[in-house]
Amino acid sequence: MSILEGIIEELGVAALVKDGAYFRLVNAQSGWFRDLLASLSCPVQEDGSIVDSESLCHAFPFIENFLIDAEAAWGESGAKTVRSGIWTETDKSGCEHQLEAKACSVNGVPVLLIENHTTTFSEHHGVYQKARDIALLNEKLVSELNQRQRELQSEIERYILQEASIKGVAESVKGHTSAVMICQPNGQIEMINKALIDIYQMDDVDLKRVSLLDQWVSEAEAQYPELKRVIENGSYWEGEFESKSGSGVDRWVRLTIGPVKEQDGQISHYVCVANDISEFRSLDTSSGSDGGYDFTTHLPNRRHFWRHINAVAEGGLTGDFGLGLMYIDLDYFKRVNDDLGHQAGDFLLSAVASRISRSVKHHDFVAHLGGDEFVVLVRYIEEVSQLDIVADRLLESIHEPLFVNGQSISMSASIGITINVESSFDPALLVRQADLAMYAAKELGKGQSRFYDPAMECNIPHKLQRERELIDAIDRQEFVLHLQPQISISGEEEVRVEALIRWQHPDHGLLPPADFIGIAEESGLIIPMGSWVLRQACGIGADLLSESKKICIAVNISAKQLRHPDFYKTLTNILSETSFPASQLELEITESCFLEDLNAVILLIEKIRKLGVTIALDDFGTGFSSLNYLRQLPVDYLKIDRSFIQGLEIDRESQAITSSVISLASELNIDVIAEGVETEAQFDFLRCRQVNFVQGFLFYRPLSLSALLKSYGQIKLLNDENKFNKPQ
Amino acid sequence: MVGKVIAKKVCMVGPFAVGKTSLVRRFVDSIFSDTYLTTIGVKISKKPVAVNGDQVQLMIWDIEGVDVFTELKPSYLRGASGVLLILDGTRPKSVEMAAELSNVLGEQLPGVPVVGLLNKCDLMYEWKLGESDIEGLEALGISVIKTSAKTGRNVELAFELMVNKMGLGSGVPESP
Ligand SMILES: Nc1nc2c(ncn2[C@@H]2O[C@H](COP(=O)(O)OP(=O)(O)OP(=O)(O)O)[C@@H](O)[C@H]2O)c(=O)[nH]1
Ligand SMILES: [Mg+2]
Repeated sequence: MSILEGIIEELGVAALVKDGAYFRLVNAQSGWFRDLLASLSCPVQEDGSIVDSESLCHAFPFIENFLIDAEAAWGESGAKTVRSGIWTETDKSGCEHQLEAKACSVNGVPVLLIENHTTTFSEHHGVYQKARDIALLNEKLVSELNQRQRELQSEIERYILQEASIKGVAESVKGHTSAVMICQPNGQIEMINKALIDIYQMDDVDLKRVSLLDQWVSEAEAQYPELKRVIENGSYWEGEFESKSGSGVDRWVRLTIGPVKEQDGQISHYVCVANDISEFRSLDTSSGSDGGYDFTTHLPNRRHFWRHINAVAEGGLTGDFGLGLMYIDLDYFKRVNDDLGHQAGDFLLSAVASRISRSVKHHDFVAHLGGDEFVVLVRYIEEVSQLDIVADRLLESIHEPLFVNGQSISMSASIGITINVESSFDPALLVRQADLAMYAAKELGKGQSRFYDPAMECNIPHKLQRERELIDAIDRQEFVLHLQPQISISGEEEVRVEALIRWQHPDHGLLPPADFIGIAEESGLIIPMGSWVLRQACGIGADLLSESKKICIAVNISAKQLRHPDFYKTLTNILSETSFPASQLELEITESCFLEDLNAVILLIEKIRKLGVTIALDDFGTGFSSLNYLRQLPVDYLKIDRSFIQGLEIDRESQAITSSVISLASELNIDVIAEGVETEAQFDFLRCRQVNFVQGFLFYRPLSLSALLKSYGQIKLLNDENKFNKPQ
Repeated sequence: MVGKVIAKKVCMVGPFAVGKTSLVRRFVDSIFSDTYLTTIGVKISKKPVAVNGDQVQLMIWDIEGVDVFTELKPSYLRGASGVLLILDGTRPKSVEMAAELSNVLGEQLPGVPVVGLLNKCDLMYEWKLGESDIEGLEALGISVIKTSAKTGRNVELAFELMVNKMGLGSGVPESP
């Protein structure tokens, strides 16, 4: 071995000179390389110095690929050395070798170097391993931190509501690593813990002097223009922003704010939980990735959205097209999140996100602003009515039932819409308008969309206006009852109807309950309105009876109505005033009636049933209850929610749920009513499963009293017919 | 008639620690380990599969994961007949990274089939990806299946699907 060969060998290199279709090994005695070639059954010439190119490629497919880069380097005069990157080769005995190839020209002669890194590899590997272990841990920490912070937030709120004591909170979060502050709505601090002092580097006297809440709101407002509105309106908020600390150094904080409300709905406190996430932030930015996507839903996040809409604004709008902005906020999301846990909450958000994405066109821009708020930027609209269609599609698809932890839930959302047809526009203004419109949609009873209207800017809340109109409507008797027949398929002869309220609005025409029940519920007007419905329905029933048209009337009762201390008295009064037999009256209640004070509600309902009144459980399957929970409830009828019936032809889950509801109900001796039956196929499915009653457009829409009178005979006939069609 | 042996290159591509190596080990050696040993560079494994009477030798390129320090080297992709793009269903971040990778794939390997694997589907409780992610990937022309290197779920299937997409399993001849 020459000295040069010895040195090459010592460096762990096999040097090959290319000569046509062959490679000549310069350090022909290279032990490791020859052993490896032999182990990979690569034929080498007797003296061990010549390997043909094909065999080399066969033994090392990695080199085969590298030779293409190598040829380029060899062909070009003055080209630099090219490296292959490390690869791992396993020999016959299972030992791994880490190798790297290099191609260069020496005096115009093509040379291939194969370096053996096996001995130094573990050190090199260790560095990468550590870096990736840390990066993984970091990802995990961020996600856990977010989750814990939300949990702590709702624990504190719950505690305050149950114990009505802030002292207790102070005690329990004293040493907590998350910063906690509880303040009054005006920002006056009631308690802070040490972690907060640590973030802001101020003593608590100083901290109490500045209004931290105001500081936060103004610091976060640039990114989150709706923050103030959200919390003043009593909703939960979370976000991340840069905040000034006492030492003058900016910290990134992740803040959650949850309002605590008194019985009357007034906000008594804000519970704020903050974490210093500067470290995570710096890691993240050093990685060059700016996120841009929401962690839970992977939709573009708030920052991404602002970048996008600013870019659109800068580019200006061209042509005859306009821009629509929809601000979507889920209704009651916080409650779902608290009841089912954050994991389920995150799942819901992801599902809703995907439904929103699916409901809009490909070139529309969907973003998740955080919490339960989304926006859709709809471009290229020619007519405003197109936006209405999109909004309806969004509302519908969000409302489809979802399955979480074996339960089915229907979410709803409120949507605010604003449009811009000018070529230049102010993005912040547009967002604020959509946000205001969304807020109006919420106030008007949720689950609906509203277009921005400059009137929303003035301080008389929309809700109050509607409320006033409602009060007038009650006085002026602007309500009417429509009656929708329920057809028996199990042989009942009796004619049954559900009474449905409509509002004959002086300006807007006939309004469905969705447009006003929400406000009536919130304002308490539901009590007089509900009594009116009950009295009216019993009156109609009694009149029909006197014409020997026997009828059973079902009346919807809201949770608030049922819980009103006078409800039972009102009910018995109306029954005796109208002399309508109790046995002909049915009350439809929803699962939400049982959410609070289960036992007291059960007692009340049992008392009502003693009168002879029957009870139907409405919208079954959309609430939070499981099937098993049904066993406890004293009900006579069960109405499967229309969303399942509508799903019968589309998804197996709806079929499975409907079937199991029917069979469980029959086991419990509860009759089942299917609502929203619109097609023959749905009807066939239900008939085969032996549902007891069907209600829906396939048979009758809600009818005015006179129309019902005309159809009375036909309904009896239908009941009869179905009796004989009943499958065995 | 004895079929001939065809060699086909398949690349395992994805962010770091999503389970590329584990999937190869599950598929080739039927083993799995919980210990994370990051891959540096490339390791090629071979696995013969029978397709319509032909023996196909899959040359599976397990390529180092992409992270802050490591980009996907385009030269590793050269000559690939198919790509498995691996994501980790418990790490939303891996979706973002995968979307970027799919751009690189489109440029480097136009027309070459890509199958997306949402790996670690055994970790149901830590699962963080939603339908929207799946749809996002599908919109990029990537068919997606959930896999677990740990339990072996859908691993064989994923490779079979890949082979099918490469135009071998279906008996459709490759374009020259
Ligand atoms: N539970 C579970 N863990 C898995 C699965 N697949 C891989 N892992 C684990 O995830 C970690 C990373 O797996 P690897 O296969 O090394 O990941 P990789 O994509 O090859 O990583 P790099 O080579 O660094 O890019 C290891 O701890 C594996 O045990 C899986 O299907 N389920
Ligand atoms: Mg690996």
